[in-house]
Amino acid sequence: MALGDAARTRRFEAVALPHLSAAYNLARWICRNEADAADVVQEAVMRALQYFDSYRGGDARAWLLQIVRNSAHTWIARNRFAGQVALEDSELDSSEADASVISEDPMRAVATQIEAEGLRLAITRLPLEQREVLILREFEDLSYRQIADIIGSPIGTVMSRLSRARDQLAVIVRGEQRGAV
Amino acid sequence: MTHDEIRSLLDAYLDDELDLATGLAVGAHLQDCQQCSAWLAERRSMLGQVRSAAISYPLPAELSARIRAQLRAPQQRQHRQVQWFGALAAGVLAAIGGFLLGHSWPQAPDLRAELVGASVRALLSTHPIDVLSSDHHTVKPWLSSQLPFSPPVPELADQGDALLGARVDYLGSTRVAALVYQHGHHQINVYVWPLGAIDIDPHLNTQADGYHLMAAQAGAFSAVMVSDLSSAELAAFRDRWKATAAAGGG
Repeated sequence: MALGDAARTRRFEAVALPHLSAAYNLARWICRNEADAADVVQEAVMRALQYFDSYRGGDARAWLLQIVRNSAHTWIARNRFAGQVALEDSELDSSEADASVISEDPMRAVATQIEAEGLRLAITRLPLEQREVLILREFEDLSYRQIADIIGSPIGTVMSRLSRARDQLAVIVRGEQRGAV
Repeated sequence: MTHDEIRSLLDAYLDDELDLATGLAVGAHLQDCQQCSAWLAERRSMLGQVRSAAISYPLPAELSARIRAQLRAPQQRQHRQVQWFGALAAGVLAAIGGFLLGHSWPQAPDLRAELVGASVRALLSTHPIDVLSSDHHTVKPWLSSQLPFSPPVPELADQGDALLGARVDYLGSTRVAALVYQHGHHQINVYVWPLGAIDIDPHLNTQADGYHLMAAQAGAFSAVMVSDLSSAELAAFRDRWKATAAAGGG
């Protein structure tokens, strides 16, 4: 029994741990802060181990990301319930302040950084339901079908959320290009 | 399909998510429609920027190490428990058994031996803490995710007791939270479990094998502090811990 457990854990590690970076990135974008993301990932990995028997082969990354995504939502619901959402706003304020300071700097060398920070901020500000779909698509390159499975919604919902997220980003990027010239 | 219908499919076209027939229809429209092809080009460029901006968040090495350690920890601890526990309990009991049994202990001596044994193990271990954090907002949720209960995690740094972190430990077959504090050069292990999960005298105040053990009750939880601090210092710590836990600090 004990040996079986150890072997099972080793198998789990081989399947799940290669996708830890993707797991953290998703949690980090959903939670919007580092400490919560770390806890969510840790909790999700333990949950994944618990449910490892339900993993039927297939794309291990999508399987793990689904558990991470659900853990992150549970986390958000829990913290919202406890009235602990203040963190997000203060964090957003500070990065907003940074962006405005940098964008007054005329040096071209920082242009790329401004652009990256501008994009980061723009994505961070997207509503959660659009943000997670965008991350799964642009950073994890998952198919609409996989994303639909992860968020538990129809493909049509994935399409419309993704389009709306991209529309918002396009507005920001266009605005920046105009401002930078 | 109308222009507007095509337009609504351009994102899926770009992602290569359309079925063959629809994809061909959109492609044909793009040949003729300047507006749609310009829109698509702009979209592609914007998404290229997003992908090349390197704004993904890299996995912190510390988190990766923590998770790997945790995946191995519970099993190892269980195995260690079985091997060590017998040896340790026997050793501790053999060494101090006569002394212990000579007194009218309110508790079965093996719980004390276990508490001391667990503390000794933690001190000897290279990995005494599963979650290294002085922030109860980190420690508490982590413990809740590992245990069927959510223990109080008082922060006492402003009173001279730094929270180092926590781990999950076993007392017998019961999983308990173990909070680790530092006071001066001494560590204090605080074992916490829901009232009644393990019976203990709430006024327990004793020593074994060079360690002081003191019990406390905080809300719906029992706690035992184990440390090589002096009896008076540990009692003061217990009172601070209890007061902060009762006040909802953590």
